[in-house]
Amino acid sequence: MRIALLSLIALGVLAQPVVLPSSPCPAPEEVLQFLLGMDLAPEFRAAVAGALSAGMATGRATPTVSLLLLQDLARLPREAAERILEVIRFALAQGFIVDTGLVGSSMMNEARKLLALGRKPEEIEAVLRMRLAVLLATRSVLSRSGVVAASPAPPDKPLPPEERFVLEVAWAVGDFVLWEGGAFADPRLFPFVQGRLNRLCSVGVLSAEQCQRSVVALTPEMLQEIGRLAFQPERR
Amino acid sequence: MRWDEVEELVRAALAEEVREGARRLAGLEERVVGELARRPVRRSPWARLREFFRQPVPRWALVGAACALLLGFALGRLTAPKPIPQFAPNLFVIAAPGARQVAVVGDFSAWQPIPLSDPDRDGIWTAVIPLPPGRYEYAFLVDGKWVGQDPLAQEYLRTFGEYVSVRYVGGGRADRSS
Repeated sequence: MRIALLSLIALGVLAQPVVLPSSPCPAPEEVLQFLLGMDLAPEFRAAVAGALSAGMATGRATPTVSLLLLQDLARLPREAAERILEVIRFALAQGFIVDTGLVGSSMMNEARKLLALGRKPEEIEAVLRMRLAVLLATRSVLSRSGVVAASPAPPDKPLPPEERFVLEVAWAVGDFVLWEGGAFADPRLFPFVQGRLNRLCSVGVLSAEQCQRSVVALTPEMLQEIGRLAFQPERR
Repeated sequence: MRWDEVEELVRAALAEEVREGARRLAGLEERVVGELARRPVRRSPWARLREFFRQPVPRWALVGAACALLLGFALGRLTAPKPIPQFAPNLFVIAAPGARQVAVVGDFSAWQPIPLSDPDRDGIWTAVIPLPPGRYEYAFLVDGKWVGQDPLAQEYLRTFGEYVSVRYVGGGRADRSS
């Protein structure tokens, strides 16, 4: 009888999805070790280490992209690196996703892209600040409208799935205004964002629940309000 | 012969018979056990299975088995890491006759160059990169020069005046129109 019970428990444990081996990636300790070696103000370095450590532990950042970005920033003048890192640290402290790994766009990948394009550190910082402003505005509007939870999860707590929705809405609004040259009052903003979100639904980046509930709940007014809050600082 | 003599003979015969029987029964148990051990009953697995299912199973045993299975499954769910999404091979191709080095950079590589190859030297450079489902921005680097408009892209973005291609991977429903 005991053998039968143990066999059944083992059967239940084994009846899990098969996990494919992941590609080698640096350990979080490796990232933090690199950060400790960077030429940064000690207090600032400690603050970034704390935010990044919590971010990597909760899925708001990944060791792979974090390490690559830190290696890039280590080649910049100290002040420029600190200004860019401060935007990322602040975003992490607010509980936002700053790095989706090697799938999709996020703050860290955006910084890497702009570096690959040969942009100046101040341009990169300006873009990241705008991205951060859109993230803050998106969360504010979506939580007020009841599309996402009223209060975000603390940065050291597990990442709620709705943060990915906040990120994708903010990213689409940011892309429209930053790169498509559109104004936030432009009526094309809503179809642009909805088209983006529907495609993310079709490839499974957003969960079925988010696609059926949150995407449908978005309105043109919400997106315009996000734009107003993000790009008209006096309205914040 | 007298009656009492006959009775005596009968008693003696019976006593002899009992003693003979007792001699035969001595060690019978050991012999039977030995015989059983020497020739064990061999039933087929099918017969044993049928016999197992013929036996009545108490309800508590069924409930216990179900609980054990659920417990095992719950333990597995708690301890198993999240499944990694399936990686689909994605072809990146660009015509760059005369180029010496061609690479693709994108979200999937954290914007690190991944070299393309042109083994038959026909100017068509290719790389197959397995990618999990997602939205990817990317561009080609042809001899170090940024080429952001891939004809196979589903969308384009302009970043600081440079184009970036966008590809959606997975789901089987993403179309190619932008």
